[in-house]
Amino acid sequence: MRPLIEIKDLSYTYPDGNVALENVSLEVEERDCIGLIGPNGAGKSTLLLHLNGILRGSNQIQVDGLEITAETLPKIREKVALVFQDPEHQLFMPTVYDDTAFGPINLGWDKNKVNWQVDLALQEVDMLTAKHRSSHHLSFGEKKRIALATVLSMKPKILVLDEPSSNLDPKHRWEMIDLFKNLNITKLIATHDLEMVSTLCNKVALLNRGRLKAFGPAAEILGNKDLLVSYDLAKP
Amino acid sequence: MKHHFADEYAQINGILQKIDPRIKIVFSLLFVFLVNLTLFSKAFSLIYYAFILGLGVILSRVPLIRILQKSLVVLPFIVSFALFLLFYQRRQPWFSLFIVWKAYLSLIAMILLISSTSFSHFLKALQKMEIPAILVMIFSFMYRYLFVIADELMSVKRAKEARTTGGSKWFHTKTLANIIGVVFIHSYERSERIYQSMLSRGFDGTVRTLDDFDLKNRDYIFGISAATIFVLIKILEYGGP
Repeated sequence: MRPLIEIKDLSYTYPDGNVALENVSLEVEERDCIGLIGPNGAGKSTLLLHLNGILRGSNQIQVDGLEITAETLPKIREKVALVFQDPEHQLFMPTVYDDTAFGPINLGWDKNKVNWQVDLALQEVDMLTAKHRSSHHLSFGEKKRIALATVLSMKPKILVLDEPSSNLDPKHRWEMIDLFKNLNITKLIATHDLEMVSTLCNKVALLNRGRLKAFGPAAEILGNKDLLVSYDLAKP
Repeated sequence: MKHHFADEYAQINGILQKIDPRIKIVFSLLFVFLVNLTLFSKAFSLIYYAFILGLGVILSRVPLIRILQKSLVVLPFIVSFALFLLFYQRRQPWFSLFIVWKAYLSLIAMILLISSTSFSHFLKALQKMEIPAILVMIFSFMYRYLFVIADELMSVKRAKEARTTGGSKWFHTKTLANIIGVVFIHSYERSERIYQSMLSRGFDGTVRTLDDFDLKNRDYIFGISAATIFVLIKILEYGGP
């Protein structure tokens, strides 16, 4: 069976000359949950930005059988939902409703469908009561949940999360992890939170300095202490 | 950090809050227009406009003290202009006072409009009134991120103060200028991320919205009453003493 995401020899260099990714190849199957781990500056976020065509490196990426090109971008962005690390970047509209409806409106859905999906997404993250509030009135944990709702409302096939548990207190972190556990879609999670990865993910990809160093079953990679220590992901 | 939001009284149970924002915008602008068209020889009619504003404040239930506090931010600019007229252009003191009063009434009308309307409804109303969508989006972003940038400025300033043990005033002024520069760069980077997040949710440069405003009976009643009062004022103005 064809993988849901197929990345072949992806390389990307930022305009300032910083090489962020070098020949990364990765395959993601449907319903996979892949933990992208690696030290700071490994290229995790850069890789995520390629998955719905925000960045376009020298590569061949296929998502659900579609190659990422200017023509296929709207379809790709409907399939791949990206949640940014800082919810302030995701919540730019005046109210929670407007933010959650932003994606569905851009997809050209009619008013009833937009409203239905907004309610559904807010219910999924348990924030329906905040629907008409302004995002800047919310706590950080609430903002993280709403940021997730803003992409769930687009009914994506693939959820791409950048450091979803960062800056959350333990209670809200576990609530977030439970939330992801209940989302029955393909997930890619870039994080330093190895506990979350071991709870949620079936596979792990380890990146270092833009190169894929290991890819395999989560238990195998997270159980290899020497590997984790060599990439500063565990205490020696 | 705690902020006083411009629309902090938009959700209270006032009559003005229930009026369609488009009607409020139109009549607030009309009010400002009429006030500023008032001739110096008809200065007495400004009392009528002040009376209307007083009525608006009562209907909105926004505390008068909050409105006056908010007006203090702009008042120095109005007073400076009046002083300019008085000393530089050698106009009569009464004329300068007349200008101050006109500007102040306009200012209070705008504060009342913003205070009694949630900012999201205000923006949606602007868009329904055919104001270019891109302009409305800029207003929206400005309001949304003003507080975020203010918080960031405060955090950087605190970090600076935590390491401040002395130094001349000039040194601190220079440091403050650097802080503003750093916050500006952060804001620029933030704008890049926000744009990326917009793109990833299907934004292609076209601003799309769902329209859901409907004029109700109370909006028509408010509109007709306000228009009648404005006409009456003009009759009094030109038929009066």
